Amino acid sequence: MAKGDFVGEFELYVMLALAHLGDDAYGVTIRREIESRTDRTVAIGAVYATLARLEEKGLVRFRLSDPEPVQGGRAKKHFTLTQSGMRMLRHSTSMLGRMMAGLSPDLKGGRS
Amino acid sequence: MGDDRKFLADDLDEEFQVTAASAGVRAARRWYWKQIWLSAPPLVARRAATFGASLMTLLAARQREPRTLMLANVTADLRYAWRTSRRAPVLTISVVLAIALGIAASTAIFSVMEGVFLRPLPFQRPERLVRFSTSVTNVGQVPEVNYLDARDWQAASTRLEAIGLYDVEPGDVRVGNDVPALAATVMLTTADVIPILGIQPHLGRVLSRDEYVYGATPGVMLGYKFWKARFGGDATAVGRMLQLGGARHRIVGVLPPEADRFPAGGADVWTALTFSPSSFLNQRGSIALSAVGRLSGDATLAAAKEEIATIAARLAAAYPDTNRNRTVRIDPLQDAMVGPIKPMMVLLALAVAMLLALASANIANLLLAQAHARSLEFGVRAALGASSGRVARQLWTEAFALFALAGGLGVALAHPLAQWLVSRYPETLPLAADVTLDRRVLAMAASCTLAAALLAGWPRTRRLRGSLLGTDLHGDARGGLTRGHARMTNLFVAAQVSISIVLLFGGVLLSRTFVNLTSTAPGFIPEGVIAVRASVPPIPHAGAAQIAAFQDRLRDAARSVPGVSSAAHAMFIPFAPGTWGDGYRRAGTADSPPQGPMAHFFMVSPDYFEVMGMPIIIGRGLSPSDREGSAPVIVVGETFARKAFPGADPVGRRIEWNDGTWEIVGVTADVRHAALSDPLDADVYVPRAQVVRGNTWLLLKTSRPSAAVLMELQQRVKSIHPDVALTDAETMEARLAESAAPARFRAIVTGALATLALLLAIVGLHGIVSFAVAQRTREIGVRLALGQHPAAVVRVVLLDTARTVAIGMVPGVLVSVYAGKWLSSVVLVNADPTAVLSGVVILFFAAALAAASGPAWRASRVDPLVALRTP
Repeated sequence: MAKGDFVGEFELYVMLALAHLGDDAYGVTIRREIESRTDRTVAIGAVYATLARLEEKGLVRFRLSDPEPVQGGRAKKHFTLTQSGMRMLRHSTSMLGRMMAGLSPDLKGGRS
Repeated sequence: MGDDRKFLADDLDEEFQVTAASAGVRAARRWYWKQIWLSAPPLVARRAATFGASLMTLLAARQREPRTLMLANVTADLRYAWRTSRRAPVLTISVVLAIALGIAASTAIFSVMEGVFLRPLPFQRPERLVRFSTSVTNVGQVPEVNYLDARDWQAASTRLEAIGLYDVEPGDVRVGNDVPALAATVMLTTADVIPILGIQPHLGRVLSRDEYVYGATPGVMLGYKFWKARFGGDATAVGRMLQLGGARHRIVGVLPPEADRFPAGGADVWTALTFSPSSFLNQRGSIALSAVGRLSGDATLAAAKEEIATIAARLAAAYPDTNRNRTVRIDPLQDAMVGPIKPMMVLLALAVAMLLALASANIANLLLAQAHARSLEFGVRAALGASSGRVARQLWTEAFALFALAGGLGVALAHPLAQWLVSRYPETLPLAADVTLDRRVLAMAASCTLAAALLAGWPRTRRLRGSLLGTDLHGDARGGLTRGHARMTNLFVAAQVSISIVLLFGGVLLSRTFVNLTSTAPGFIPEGVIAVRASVPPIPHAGAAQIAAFQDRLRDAARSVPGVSSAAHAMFIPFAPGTWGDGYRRAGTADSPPQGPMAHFFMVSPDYFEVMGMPIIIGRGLSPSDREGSAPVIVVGETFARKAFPGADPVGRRIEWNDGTWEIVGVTADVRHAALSDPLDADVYVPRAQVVRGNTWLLLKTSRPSAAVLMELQQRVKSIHPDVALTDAETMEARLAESAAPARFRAIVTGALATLALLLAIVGLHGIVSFAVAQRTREIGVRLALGQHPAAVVRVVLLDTARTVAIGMVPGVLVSVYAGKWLSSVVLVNADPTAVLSGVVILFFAAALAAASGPAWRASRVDPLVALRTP
């Protein structure tokens, strides 16, 4: 991936959620994963808008599951990270790590 | 995103169920709505982003297309458009004419409005100029002020640099040995008016301050236009003598062209406004002069208003008799000048805008019908590889070429139309600049044309692009209408019907108003009556008796003219400026003028009733023996009698007025005063000899042409006194016609627009119905083959038309109801709007059915065999 390709904060959250959820990643679970970990309200619309954007960038792909064999069962759109999505995620998190290196946990410190 | 909507909704449902199970339905519902609320912004943003991206892709693709090819395409498109339009000349000509008319009318109105409203008056800092008017309780606002009041304002005000007073009067001017004298507009001003406006003379000089003093013999200044017209722009005019109203004046200068912009319509001759100290102008009671002022330094209008209001309040306390009911109003000069004509201009602008919209809707439908016929052509082009963008460009090129042609024609027609409008406008237009087609007007015309082209071309392009998606390729040009097409057609028919209903309603309402107006009896017989104003020169030390005798001599001279059957003189006459409205007290009652009853007092000679053809209904008329010194008597109008003495015989009753007690000796008919639309009011006729005033009107009843009579009158009057000036000569019939001129003009203009609107709508409807019938040929053929009677086919077509028209009428009728209310609030409306509206609806229905009957009849004549065999 080209230098200077950054993903936004919420995009990063969605990709991390996909990494956590593995095969069970669809709208509901992704939304809940982020909500429970960040402790803030997450709109389902924001999740889908972000997924569509990530898909366009080639960072995630989806497959449609068959309808569940129960009454009212439905098809789901399952998302997973692509190869470049995984690379991007590793890249972004390591960048974050490098940027944070040398800072105390409360992000104070600076050069002395 | 579209695909994701379902998943998103499913996800919401799933979580709603889970939340409802754990936290209860109420909490789940709350959560659900919060989710929807929060989801909207990111989703909308996402949609906008994808739309923007696809647009960018499209534009990028366009950029890749070589320029030269694009240009070649445009030329090819134009050539193709030319061939297409040649194939349908009637369509082309009607489109161009309809739009050209709409553009011409809109541009003409706009260019006049620009000259009136948008251009500043050509004076120094025109925004600092103000005009004064007076509001009088129970009378309303008059555009004049009192002379002494104005002098007091000027003396006490710090926020007004100066206040100038002026009066515009019709007069007669004689240069050298001119016979007869020229009618001229005379501008009489005080010394401050020219400095206030900041006018520098074009030639010679302006009047000096000492020429504005009473008793001085003032010079005169010529208006620029008058100088050009009368003296051919000859510089030696300055210094020559000019006779104005009986006195000789030296021409001291020529004013610059800007001075012709003030007062509205300009003046031919400017001179000093002077009057004797005993003149009524020099009394607190009179409100007769116009006033213009200039704000001083950096004083604001609001500050000046406040200051003048304070001064006026002081004057009201000092002179309660005259000033108690008076308040002063100050407006920017240009606002005050254009104010009276604003409603008419707005009315015209709205009407032409509607006509243009109507024409566009009409063209839209024509093009739409044509597009349907051409769908095969475009299907083939698409099949051969034309992109939809390419086809759209072709269509737009056609539309724009057509409209550009129409716009050009419209602009060419606009200037003569604007000139016509200015010359025929019934009131003087306060034009701040000449009516020209300047850049602003041309830009306006161009945007009107563009808007009309977009409005008319858009539905067709939409429709043909739709047909390129393959929906029509299998079919043929004679197949049925798609539902979208039919809906669009109906929408445009409805728009046309609505707009033409509104325009028709306005046109008929105002035409009806004019007809009603001219059929209103004025209360006197105007035929064969000439009225002329006689300015009597001051007779030194003349008493009332001498003045009265002089007026009688003038009257006798008039009667001696051959062909004059009777003559009279009067201080005021109907349908000419000036009345004497006053309060009175019924003798023995507690009426307290001026709050009590009011009446119009006419000082007339005894023969007045005979000349004017006014019947004496009860009692007697006035007689020559009712003179100064004899018992004061009056004749009253019927309305006066009814109002003042309801249910009683008025003859013998007395009223107190003008320091006297007057006995009613007779009752005559009511007259309209200044306009035929005026309500009848209380009138009182007083013997002239008992209330003597200087100037007078002479009234002559004759069967001869007025010019010859006036010529002889002039000679006879001169032999009585060489300085008597006869001005304002006009027949009463002409005065009546003049008073109805604005209504007549409105009737003509809106009537013409309404006729055009009806024509356009009917032609449009005819086209639509013809087209619909052609589309249904096969269906009709089947119906006839199955044994349906041809009359039933006619009925079906007519009913279809009636239904479409009826639906289209609903908005038109609703708008008309409001338009009627608005119209009667801004201009004279003298007709029943409900009756007019019903009439218009019926008229329109009849016209629509007539337009549909041709195609309907053709439909019934369809040969089933031919209809079914044709592909």
